[in-house]
Amino acid sequence: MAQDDKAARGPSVAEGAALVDLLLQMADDDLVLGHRHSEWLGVAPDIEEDVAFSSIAQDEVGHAALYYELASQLGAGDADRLAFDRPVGERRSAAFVELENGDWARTAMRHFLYDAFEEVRLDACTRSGWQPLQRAATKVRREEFYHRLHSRTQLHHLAKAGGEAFARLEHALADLWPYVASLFDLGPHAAELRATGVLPADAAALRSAWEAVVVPELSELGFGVPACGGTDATSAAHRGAHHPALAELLTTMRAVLDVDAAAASW
Amino acid sequence: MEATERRRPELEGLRQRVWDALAEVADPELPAVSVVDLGMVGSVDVEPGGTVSVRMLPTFVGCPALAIIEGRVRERLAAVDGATTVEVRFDREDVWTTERLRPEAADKLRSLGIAAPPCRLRERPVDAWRVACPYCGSTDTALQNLFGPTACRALYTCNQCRQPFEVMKPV
Repeated sequence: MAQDDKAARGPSVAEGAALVDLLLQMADDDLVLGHRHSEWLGVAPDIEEDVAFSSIAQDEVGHAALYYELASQLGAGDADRLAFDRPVGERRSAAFVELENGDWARTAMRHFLYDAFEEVRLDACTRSGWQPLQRAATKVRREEFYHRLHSRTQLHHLAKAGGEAFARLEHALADLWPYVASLFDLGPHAAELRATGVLPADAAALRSAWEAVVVPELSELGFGVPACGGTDATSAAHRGAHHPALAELLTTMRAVLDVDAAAASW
Repeated sequence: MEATERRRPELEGLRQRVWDALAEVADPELPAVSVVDLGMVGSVDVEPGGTVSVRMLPTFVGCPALAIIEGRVRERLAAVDGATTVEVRFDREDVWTTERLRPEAADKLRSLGIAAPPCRLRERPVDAWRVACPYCGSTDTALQNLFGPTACRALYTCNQCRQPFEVMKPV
């Protein structure tokens, strides 16, 4: 099979750079949101959600580790260093995942919107012509089934409670929506990723697949969905335009490492 | 598993000893269940001279027990008669699913108070899972939380004997 031949040859130098960028987008998104989820550990509104969010956080950080490992195999450097030791300017996460958690409603709304996005991006990766990514996505996609189920159930429960819960969710949706575009910025190599079959979809296709999933569900729950695409012309629409909250998150994540970086070992 | 190796009895003996040793290595979070029961052993290769290479499949990608399991496998295999060099590798790209569980895993899980996966992933909706209580066998059970003490387990209660228990989630 042509695909196997390609996998055996490995990506060309140019494909390698594009692949590393894609893997770092996926890894950084999952690491940052996994860290945000972990911030609820011990302080979630109830014990069930405390357990759920720590479990989901652990999964997301694990998925990030898998993508860092693949990037490392392509010559991007040590996986742990990729996770902990890159300055803000080199990070590839979307501002959408970098925002502070805010209240429980914003956490739930972001969890719902992000998991739907992840599903769409992973679906495209399961059709990747680069076999290691195709297989990793197939594996991660199976675990994400439970995240998606959890985020949908949680949103439905809160939205159907009405009152303050609904009002807070509505507010969260309006707050988060301008940042959605940052998720769909596939970076400077997007055209090449598509042409080479590494990621057989473009940003517009991913976005419309995502909207086809989330918009009807939000409408059914009674939310007025902001005009699609109409509010995206913000400075947060590109990966690289990081939210200021990222720097603080990285400082927290590196707190132990910064005590004595030279002595760090994993 | 090359056919040429299969015809060499001394290598076959070593291969069997390796599999027997692996069957003694338990998951630290599921102490009655071995890595063989869990279907975590992808392949075992043995070469003349006693080089043993084991390819393992991680269960959940982010499972923190993997490093401990790898260490235990390495340690146990180093003690296998005839094994001179031991290589253990987690193949993170291969897809482990709960369909890889050996049939005997269900009984061992039950002894820990954990029900085996009730079906394949997406075979039925989660609210239609039919889960038998590992303590009394009743199927009058209720899901409490999709997430539990480890990534691979969900929390249930039994309406019959009132006992809380866990189920291994299908993936």
